Amino acid sequence: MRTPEAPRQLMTLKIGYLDGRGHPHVKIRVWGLSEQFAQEFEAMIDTGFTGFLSIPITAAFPLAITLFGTTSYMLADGSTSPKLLGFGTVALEDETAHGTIVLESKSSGLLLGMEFLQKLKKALVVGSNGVVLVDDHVIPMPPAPAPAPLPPTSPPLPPLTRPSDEDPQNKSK
Amino acid sequence: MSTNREFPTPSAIAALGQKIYEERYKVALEENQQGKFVAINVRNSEASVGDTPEQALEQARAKSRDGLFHLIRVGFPSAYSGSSQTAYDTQDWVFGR
Repeated sequence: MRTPEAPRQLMTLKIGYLDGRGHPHVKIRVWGLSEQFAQEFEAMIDTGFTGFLSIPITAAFPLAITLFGTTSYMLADGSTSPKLLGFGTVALEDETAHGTIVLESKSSGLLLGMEFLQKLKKALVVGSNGVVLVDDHVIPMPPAPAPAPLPPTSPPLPPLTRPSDEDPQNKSK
Repeated sequence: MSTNREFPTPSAIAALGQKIYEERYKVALEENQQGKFVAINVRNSEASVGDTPEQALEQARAKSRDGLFHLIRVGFPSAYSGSSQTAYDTQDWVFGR
């Protein structure tokens, strides 16, 4: 005798892709004041970025993003860098989230961070052939551990030197 | 609202916001608001605290429509962090570093 199947939970799949270097990307639309300013971008999902969205400032020009001021951003080498900060909306297919947007004043691509995944309640699943974002309630998760202790306040790191800076041949030029 | 105001550079807003935070708010906020976000209005030195960046900034903007804000995360070296950039990636178009 067959037992009745348990009702299948609804699971929304958002499909992305891996770029040539294996980084996960998805297509998003971004806008500021009104959706009439929306433009489509391919954004990298960077789980090392704690924010919502980072976008090159020149890409943000046509989007009517509301500027609020500045913030500080810690880079991979431990140095901090000031950034302009705005407010806008990101749409992933038919789902949208509002958040603070870091306006990147260096040449870069768009980055979606952990705050974006948390706002849309998505889990990132990366396979060898591609990327999916699924509703995180369908992924069994253990109870969240207690928050980790905050990092101690440490003195700033000394400035980095590139090998070319120490090359005596360069100094003589 | 005055229309004849000074408009500091983005670098000056960030530096002034950090200075105001450290001189006026850091000690008190780090005692019991760890992990929260604080928006410092560099025009009047007022601080607005929220659980999220949006909360802090919206509160700050509600208090002062013409404010210039610097966002800080209490107890953290920066409001945001990333893993894909270093200081030497490329020239900064706005802050010039």
